Amino acid sequence: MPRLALITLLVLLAGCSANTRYTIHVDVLSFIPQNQRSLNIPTGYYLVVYPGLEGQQVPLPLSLDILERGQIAIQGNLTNTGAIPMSGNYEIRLAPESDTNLSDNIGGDVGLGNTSFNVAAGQSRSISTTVDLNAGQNSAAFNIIKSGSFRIAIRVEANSNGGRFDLTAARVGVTGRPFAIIK
Amino acid sequence: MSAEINIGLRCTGSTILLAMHRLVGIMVFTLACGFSFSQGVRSLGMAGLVLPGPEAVYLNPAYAAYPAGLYGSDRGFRLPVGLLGLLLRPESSPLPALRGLSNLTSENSPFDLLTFYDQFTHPDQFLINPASSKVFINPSTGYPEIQISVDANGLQITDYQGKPIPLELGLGSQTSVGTSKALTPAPLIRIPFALDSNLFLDLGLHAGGLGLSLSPNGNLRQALQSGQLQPSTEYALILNANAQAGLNMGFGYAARLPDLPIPDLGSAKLYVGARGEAFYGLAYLESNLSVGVQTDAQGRFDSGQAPVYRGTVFYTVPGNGSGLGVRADLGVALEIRGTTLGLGIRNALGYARWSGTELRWNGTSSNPTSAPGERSSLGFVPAFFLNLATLLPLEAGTLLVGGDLGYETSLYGRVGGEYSLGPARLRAGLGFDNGPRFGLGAGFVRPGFSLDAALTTHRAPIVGGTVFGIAASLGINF
Repeated sequence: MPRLALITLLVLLAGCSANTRYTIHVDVLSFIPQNQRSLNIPTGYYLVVYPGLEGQQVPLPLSLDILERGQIAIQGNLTNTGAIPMSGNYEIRLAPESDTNLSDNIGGDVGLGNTSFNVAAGQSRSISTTVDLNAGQNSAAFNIIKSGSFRIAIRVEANSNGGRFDLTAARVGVTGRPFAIIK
Repeated sequence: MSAEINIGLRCTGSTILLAMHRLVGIMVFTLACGFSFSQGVRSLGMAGLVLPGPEAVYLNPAYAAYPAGLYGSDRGFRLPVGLLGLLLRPESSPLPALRGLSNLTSENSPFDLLTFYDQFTHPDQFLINPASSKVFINPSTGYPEIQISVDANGLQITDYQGKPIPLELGLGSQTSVGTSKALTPAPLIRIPFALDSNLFLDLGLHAGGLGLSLSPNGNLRQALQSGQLQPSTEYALILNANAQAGLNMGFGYAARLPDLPIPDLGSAKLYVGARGEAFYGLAYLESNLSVGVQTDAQGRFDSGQAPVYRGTVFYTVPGNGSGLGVRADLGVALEIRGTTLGLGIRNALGYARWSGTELRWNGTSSNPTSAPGERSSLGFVPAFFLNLATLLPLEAGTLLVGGDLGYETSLYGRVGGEYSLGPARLRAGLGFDNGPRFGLGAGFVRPGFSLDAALTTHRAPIVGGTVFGIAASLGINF
């Protein structure tokens, strides 16, 4: 796939003008096995990095300075199965490919899009977060995606009598101008 | 997280550089051959129709004895008007790069690699509407956009509207190197010498048989359409290229036989000819190379998997092999009251052998095995060519109508006409030759001077659609 993607890109350059933008959309959810897309939240205080401390690697075919912007979008459902309200927050964690702990703020991992939630007892609610990345917005995270393949995770912090988190969408999009490679 | 996609390049810099050099070499050679691919502009104006006469002696040796000029001639020098288009159009002009490459690649530069490619590969045509990546412009952003969607099961490349983009590039004809290597392409230069006793000799140079294409294999084409990958399947891009160049020498006999009485029509002039042609081959290329990757049993790509190279590249260059070939051609032509019918059979018997180097990739390594190789053919693999023309005098001016039908590696045929009124010529034609063709042309002819122009068409690479161009030729006889 990688080399094929690269060859394909080279072919596509023929269909390219100096101001053509390529947008690469990666469906991160599709890389997460079906049986790992749900997370059980136990009773009490619970902190978890989903789908794992090392995150999900997101392939980017080119590690170049040609990227102009990016966007990360996640969607999911929070279900409170307990008898008391569920409260907490979640944030997207991003790290360079080399950092395998996305929760320690060491090795390059950063958090973005921190969002608080409250779910009434026995209820569920959908969550949706979209984060734009560019030189002026979330620049630390933008620099991570500019460096090529990276890792992504969601850190969920909750206080509850038990519940569940279902991830329904996770997408990363990056836009670049290939001709910017030639300076 | 087994679905990791690692884009690291394993090739070393020198391997890439070598591959690039080879690719550039192939491109230059095939493009050089491409210049001879062009037909005369007068013929182009009639969809490529070849009229009876000495100019068609390559297709029918009987025309060596046929009087010149009965149906006019097509001897102009084809003008490289494409270069004008290349340099004058900001989208295709590489000139800003002389002041620094960034002038070409900056965001505000109008340069469009697709327009450049299209015009560069048609140097003898001024393209009116060359292929352009402007078709990918997203109105909401104002710039061309190409979307690449990646998920665990596939890859899809589309325009901003989600319409798949075909990854096909090509020029020339993929069938232009026939199964018989003795059938050399039409000569680029041909110098005829008339000898005594109806004998003739011609010396020539051919450079053609051009075909170059880069296309996805069937599996990849389907995957790009559907965005879905199948298990244990190879997805690949295929580079096909062929071209050849060499020197020709023909030696033949052509004569007008006694007239043939035909009831109700009168007597017909009968011409026959036979020619033996030998060639010494200087350069040859025949390649079929695919580069791809294989999915695993789950229909996913293994990140550590090396690309799969398959196929062969056979090449001959001066100093590394050569070609030799001989063939026999036969022809007959009949002219009665201004109407001529001719039949030529080339390669009635032929033999050819090219020696060179064969690079072979067997799917296990990116490094090919290199060994001396050869390509040869022997036998009766004829190419037929039938053409017909007649002159119809009108009240004002003259109308010439003609048709041809040929079979080489595939069937082709054209019908066309030329209306002459004083020095003006108007031409049109229809035909099929690897797809439908049509021609439209005009000319201005004075003694010792001719200027011709024709409308050309081809399919735009990548973006599809028809590209129109104008070819022009200038003929001056002192």
